[in-house]
Amino acid sequence: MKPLIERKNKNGFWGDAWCRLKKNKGAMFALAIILIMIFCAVFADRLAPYPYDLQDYNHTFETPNRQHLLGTDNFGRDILSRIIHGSRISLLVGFSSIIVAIILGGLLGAVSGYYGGRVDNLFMRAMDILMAIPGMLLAISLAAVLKPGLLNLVIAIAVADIPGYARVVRASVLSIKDQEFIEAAQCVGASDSRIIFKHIIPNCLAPIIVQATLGMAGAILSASSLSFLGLGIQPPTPEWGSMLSSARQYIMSYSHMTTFPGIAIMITIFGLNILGDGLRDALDPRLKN
Amino acid sequence: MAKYIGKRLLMMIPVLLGVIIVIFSIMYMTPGDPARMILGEAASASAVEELRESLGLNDSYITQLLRYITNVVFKFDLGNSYSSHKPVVDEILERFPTTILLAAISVTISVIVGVIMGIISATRQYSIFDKLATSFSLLGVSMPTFWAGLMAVIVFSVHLRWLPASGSYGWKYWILPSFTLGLSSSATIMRMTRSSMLEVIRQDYIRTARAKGQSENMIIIYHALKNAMIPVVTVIGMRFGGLLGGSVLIESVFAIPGLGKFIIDSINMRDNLVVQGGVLFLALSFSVCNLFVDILYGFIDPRIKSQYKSSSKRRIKKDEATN
Amino acid sequence: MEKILEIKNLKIEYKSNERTVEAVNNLNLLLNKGESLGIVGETGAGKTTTALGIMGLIPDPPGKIVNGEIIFEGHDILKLSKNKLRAVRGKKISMIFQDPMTSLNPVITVGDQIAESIRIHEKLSRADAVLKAKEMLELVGIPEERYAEYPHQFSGGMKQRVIIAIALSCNPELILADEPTTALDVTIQAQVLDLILKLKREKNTSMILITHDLGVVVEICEKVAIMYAGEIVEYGTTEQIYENTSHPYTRGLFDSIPDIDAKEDRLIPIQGLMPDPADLPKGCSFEPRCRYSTEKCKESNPDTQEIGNGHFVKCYNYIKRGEQ
Repeated sequence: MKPLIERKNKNGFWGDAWCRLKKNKGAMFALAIILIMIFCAVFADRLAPYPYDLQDYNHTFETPNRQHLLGTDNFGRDILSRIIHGSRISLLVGFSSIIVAIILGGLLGAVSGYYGGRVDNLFMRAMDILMAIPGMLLAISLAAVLKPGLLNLVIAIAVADIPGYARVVRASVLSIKDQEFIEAAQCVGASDSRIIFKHIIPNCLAPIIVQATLGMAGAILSASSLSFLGLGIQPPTPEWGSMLSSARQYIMSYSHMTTFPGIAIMITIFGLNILGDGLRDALDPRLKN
Repeated sequence: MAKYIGKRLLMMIPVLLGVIIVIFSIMYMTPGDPARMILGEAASASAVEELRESLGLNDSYITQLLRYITNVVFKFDLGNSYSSHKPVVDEILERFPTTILLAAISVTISVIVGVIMGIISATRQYSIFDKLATSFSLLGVSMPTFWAGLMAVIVFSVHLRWLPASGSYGWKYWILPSFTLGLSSSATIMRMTRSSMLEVIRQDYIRTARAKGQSENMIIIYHALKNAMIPVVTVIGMRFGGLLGGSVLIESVFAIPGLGKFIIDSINMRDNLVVQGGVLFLALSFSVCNLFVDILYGFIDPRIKSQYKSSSKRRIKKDEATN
Repeated sequence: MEKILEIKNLKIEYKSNERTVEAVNNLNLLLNKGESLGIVGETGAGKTTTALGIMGLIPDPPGKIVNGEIIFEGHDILKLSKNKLRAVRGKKISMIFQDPMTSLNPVITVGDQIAESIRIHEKLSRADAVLKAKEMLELVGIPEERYAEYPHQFSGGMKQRVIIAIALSCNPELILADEPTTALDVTIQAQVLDLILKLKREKNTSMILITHDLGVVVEICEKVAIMYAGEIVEYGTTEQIYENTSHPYTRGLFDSIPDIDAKEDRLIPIQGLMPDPADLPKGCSFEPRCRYSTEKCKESNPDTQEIGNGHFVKCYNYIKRGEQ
């Protein structure tokens, strides 16, 4: 006898999600933006028309022209080259702080959700405390205490993001924990850590991926904000936020110095946000209207 | 309701204590010697040591922490500024109203703009207005606050010469800062209102209202809005925290003498007690705002109120709601 | 007898992602004043869509009334302006919904939800509307003190009573009851049905009762329409349908009701599933499941024919009297 309902998803969960994502034009556009950004970051040395620190005092404050597509800054450095190199720092900071936050937050959330009870209570109240401090302020205070630099910037941003991941992971663990396949695994004597790593974490990957994509946008924003305040990456390292910080003094006469690094930030964040939204729709079709 | 508010207040106490501990501990890790900062490089080692002793800087971490907490909680004393030698509380209170006013104006603007645009977008889904509003909101959340501020200065002050670029001498000086600070919040609120509204207008009870012969406008205002606002109110509360953080940036961009700019200036002067006190103050206002949102929540959603009467399921429910 | 509702050639479609679902297809119905009509059919047969069509509440998009007329008290509802249609809804025709759990607004008190309907259609002050709403609560057996409570404080059966109170608050001419008891416990079902019937008799209201329970219809309704895949396959008085079951599908429905008196200890279920409404067979839509099917049934869709006084069947090989 023919089965009454044919099985349609032959590709499994991820294959299906990819198919749905491919249909979403906005998300594919966003993915293209992100891939181009990554490409720029990896091949910055070859793509940039000039070295990012090449100073040319005969050509300072030039508005966009043939030689310098986005103009030059107060030291006569090529803005386009500096933006291309800046993508390295931004993506690196964004990516690493998200990884740090996911590992720490995810671990806290998983343990909290899995064991419940006192551990859960303790961890979650700690997260409540971290969440009671506006993220930007927490990052600012941490950045103020730690010495300026790449690693410390990553730490400052990651700490403020930990509670978000802890909550996402805890929620998915709670929803998965009582399902029967976990009980089955416990029955055959699987250890707690095996259950957490083999069963629970793969099952909450989808919400984490969504949160991470959107979170990376937030991390890049925070990084540029901190650098803008002088608490992150210091000049002369090319970073979008610190470029804006130095461009600020010349805002009255040379606005191109302010415009372009900001557009670079905006495009990156824009891409990550749309991709995040698209991933959410693709990974959780129930949520889609 | 009083019981509910009371319980929320009680739950705030341990969180605030925790906040004090966290902020104190972060600042405790600062490299450098405050006593040396106060006295300057020229002072003798014995003078520095004397000041360390009198400031209690030689005590253990725990002793210092407990002293700080006691001073904050019972005397409302945050210490004295290293640079101006005035009480930190006075210095903060002088600038705090500016920051709160800026945040309040921005939050008002973003709620009005965000909610109205969200409702129109949802009720005319896929229309041109909806598409424009959705794109605007995507751009809004993608723009760094400080850059939006800088661009606004370029357009409205440098080129159009309509509004002043920086300072704080009258209402005109508030327009650019409050709008740029509220920009990403209005975008977030608009997105949330839109999606929440779209969800609500598909519900069965909206059909029931139509079946009664109710007009479409009344259905939106009377039936849909209150339900749709439940998640939006949470977002507004959370955005307030973002606004307080953003005020640090916007006050720096527009040279507004508020608490945010004060914190940044104090970081540069290594005036730790001011930074500590300032961050604490902003975190406290964020908590008060969240308390307010929670109470508002209880008024909007009758299920929360009555849950409170019957049992203590609330915490579980709330966790689910925030996740 | 005075006609209250007449539906002619109604066709309603839902469109989604290039799929067109014919939810209701070429439907004809007649209802006289004071009568009750039962519409019976499986889930997905188009019963609710028909009722929503009468209310003018088909969600558009994706739904669309492609063809037909719905004549209520002499006027075609489909041609009414939005404002006139609103004046009919809730006042002349009202609907009792299937799921009481989701049909009430969770953030408005039940009393206000009843008063709302009164305030829309009757020129009453707020205070008078509240009084009338309290009367309605008492009428459906809920003490008026519970006016200011919220839906989550009520049980399912009580919520359904509130929905009935809303539906009856303006003394409608016609009630559409869409599976009013499906979501309720068995013990509550009978109570709610009794309540609807009592109120209907008191006010001589006409009613369309939508259900998948043939037993309930036989008890309550004067007329029955059996729906299958968007079409009415058999229509007649309850007596005609019960005594002289003619369509094979109706036969199947009766056979699948457990009967305590019957000697057989096995039910005879209808084989198979309803066809995909987006991909209906060329011939009779019941043909793939029909015991009496012939080549002709596969080739062409039968027309509806009158086989007795007001007894209609849409079948080539309908079961003649005594043939069973």
